[in-house]
Formats: sequence, C-alpha cells, structure tokens
Amino acid sequence: MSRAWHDVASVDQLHRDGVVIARAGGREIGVMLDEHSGRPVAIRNRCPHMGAPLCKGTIRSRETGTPGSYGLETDRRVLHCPWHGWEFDLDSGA
Amino acid sequence: MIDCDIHNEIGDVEEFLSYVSSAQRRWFRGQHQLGLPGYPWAHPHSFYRDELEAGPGGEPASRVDLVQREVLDAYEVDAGLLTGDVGVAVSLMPNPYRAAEFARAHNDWLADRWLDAEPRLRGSILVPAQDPAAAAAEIERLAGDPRFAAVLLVGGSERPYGEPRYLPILQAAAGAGLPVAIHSGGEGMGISPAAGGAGYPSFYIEWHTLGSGGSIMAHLVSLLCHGTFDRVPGLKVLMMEGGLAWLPGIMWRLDTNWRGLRAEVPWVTRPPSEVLREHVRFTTQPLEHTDGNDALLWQMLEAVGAPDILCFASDYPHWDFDPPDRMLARLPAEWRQRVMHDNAAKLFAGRLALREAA
Repeated sequence: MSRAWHDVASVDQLHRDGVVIARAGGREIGVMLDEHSGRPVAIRNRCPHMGAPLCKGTIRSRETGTPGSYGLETDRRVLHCPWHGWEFDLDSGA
Repeated sequence: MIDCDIHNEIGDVEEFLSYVSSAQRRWFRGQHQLGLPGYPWAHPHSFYRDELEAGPGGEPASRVDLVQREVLDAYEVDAGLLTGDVGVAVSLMPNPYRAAEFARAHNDWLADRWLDAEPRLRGSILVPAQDPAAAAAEIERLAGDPRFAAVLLVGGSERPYGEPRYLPILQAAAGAGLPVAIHSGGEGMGISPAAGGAGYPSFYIEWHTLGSGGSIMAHLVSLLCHGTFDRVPGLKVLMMEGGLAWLPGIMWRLDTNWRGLRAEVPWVTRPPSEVLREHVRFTTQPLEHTDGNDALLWQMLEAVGAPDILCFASDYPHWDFDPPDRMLARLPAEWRQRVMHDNAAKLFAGRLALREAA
C-alpha cells in the first residue's frame, strides 16, 4: 500500500461516531478515537489471530504489575480485540 | 456445515421460570444465578465476544433471531447443537431435587422457545448427573422427541464418568440413540472438586488453560478404563471444548500403561486408542493456536484418528470461539468435509434436519 494521505472523515464525525471505517489500498482501515487522549488512531480492521473486526474492540489503559500487585499504565493505551482479547499497542501496533 | 456447540442464554428469567413448577418458582427466583453454582472469578473482561448484540437481560445469544443472524445465517450453518450456557452446571448443584427440576424446566423451555422456532437447531438434554436415576428418567422422558440430538454432561463432576454410578445415564442415552456430550466447564464449581488435582487455581487463565482440558482427559481415561463402551453397547461420546493437542500424549500414555497394567482392568481387551477411534469424538474449538506449527498438530492428531474423530464447533457467543470460515481455511483440504460436516452428521445419526443426505 502506498504511503499517502487518505481523507476518511472529519474530526467532528469521528467525535460523533467514535470510529470510522475506510478502505485504503484494498484494506479495511478503522480510524478510532481514543477518548482518553483525544487522539485518533488508524488500525487495520482485521485481527491477525482470527480475522475479527478489531475496530469493534475497546481501547483501554494497559494493565500492568509485578507478582502480587496490580497497576494501570494510564498513558499506554491498547486496543483489545473484541473476540479473543489479544492486545495491540496504539503507539507501536505491536 | 454443522456447528456442534452453540451456546444459548437464558435472557428473560421470568419466561424461563414459567417452565419451573409453581411450587419451586419462588426458590429459583430468589437464588443467585437461578441456584446454579458459578466460578469464583469471571473472565477478566467478558465471557462473550464484545461486538454481539445484547438480548433481553443484557446477554448475547439470548434470542433465537440473534443466533440465526450471528451464526446460522452468517456462516451458512446447516445444523447446530444448542448446549445452553450456565445451565450445564445443573449437575453441580448440591440439591439434587432442585437440579432435577431445573434440568426438566430447561429442556422444556429449550424445546418450546428455541427448537420449535428454528429447525436448523437441535437441543441437548440437560440432566442432573448427581442423581443418575433421575437423569436417566429425564432422558427417557425426551427420548422420542426428535428435537433433541444429544445428552449433555458437564466436565466438573463428583467422580469421572466411567464410574459405575453413572451407568444409568449412559445406558439411557445409548438406548435412545443419543450421543453423550461432555462439555468442559464447572471444574471447581459447586460439588465438583477443583480442576487439576493440585488445589484451587488462582486465576481464570489457569482454569482456561488447564481445568477444561483436565476434566475431559479424566473422563476419557475413566470411560476407557472401565470398559464403558463394552458395558454400554451403542454408546457414543462427544468430548467438547477440552482442547486437542494433548490427546496424542494421553493416548500414547494410556496404551503404554495398558500393556503393563492391563491386569488391573482385565476387561479392557484392546488398546484403548482403538476403542476411542470407534466411540469417541471431539469438538475442535478451541483448537490450539500453534504459532505456525499447524503441520505438526495435524500430524499428531492423525496419529490418534483425525480427521475422523473431529467435529467442528464454534462456541458462539463466547469470547474464545472459532469462526467457521477461519477453521475451514486452516484445516488440511482433505479433512474439511469430514470435520465440518460428515463426522457430526454420522454421530447424530439422523437427528439433525440436514438439507441433503450426508
């Protein structure tokens, strides 16, 4: 897929709908709004595990911890797949 | 395509309670989760796929039209077996009389509200396994009803199902021409001991990794060691949702042990793995994700009888379901027809309303 800008939605539309699905380079790309940071993120709408529609998942702060203690990385946001719960880092995509 | 494990939920509790006798309705209404035991921990996020539509009561898969749209139509399913959901824990209730009433009500509710509404769906008969005589009577009550295609037992149990106390259940099922489906779950719930034999696990992830497979292994080995398939002619067992990658290891171990320890179970006259190939089937979900080693998995499963022992199941609407299209693409080409359709059509022996002959 070529590196190019694609106009998919206005910021207002994104704020209203939370997620916008677009097609680019033959792929379905979802643009989601992370309500915590107000930042839009673009994600291929297909989980690499079993093909779930990733953009129907939820964006959350990443749970963290050391053995016996639980924490939340509030500035590290992850998308949870709606099916099997696999997590994808919004910054790195990993 | 045949889906052997479609979970349907009790959405409208009052509708369900209308099938409970008036003398017992107040008790069931007053209990947490209708008196059914549960796990001490839920899935950390949700037991269900996130994107499914919620029905009455807020749960997915709680109306026929949702199951039709989200599974049967979405994946062109020819026939599906409904396995209920929390109801399967009925056998783990401490009170066997309440359990018998719940099972009876669940079966009547299922037939009326689900099976009459959608001919592609067939039901599994819920029974109170803690009272095998009552369980057998419930199977006999429904044996002639073509809307039911299996008897359903739960993985969690007081003793493994090869124990002679359970023979009336297995005999009634075989007598009715129904396979017995043993669905993982319930290990450590109610009157069932904790999964794994090492005490209670701390986390849901431990149960999901070990507990469900562990009970299925225990029932399988027990049924084979008790010579159950000779004692109960015609018995077929469908092991559900216990995983599969462990199966070759357990069967190699059991066959080897049989050679050395046969005298303890002298009625077992053939290698147990031979008996398994004839009488036991396994649903595919959740088929282990192998991180690129699928070829190894197929090779190992072939050693214990795959593809003929495998029947596809999606586990809709649960979070760990296997989508049929992905499973079809993943299976070796020469396995697909048998795993996705033929093996289940044969197992349920004419009880499914298939559009064409298998």
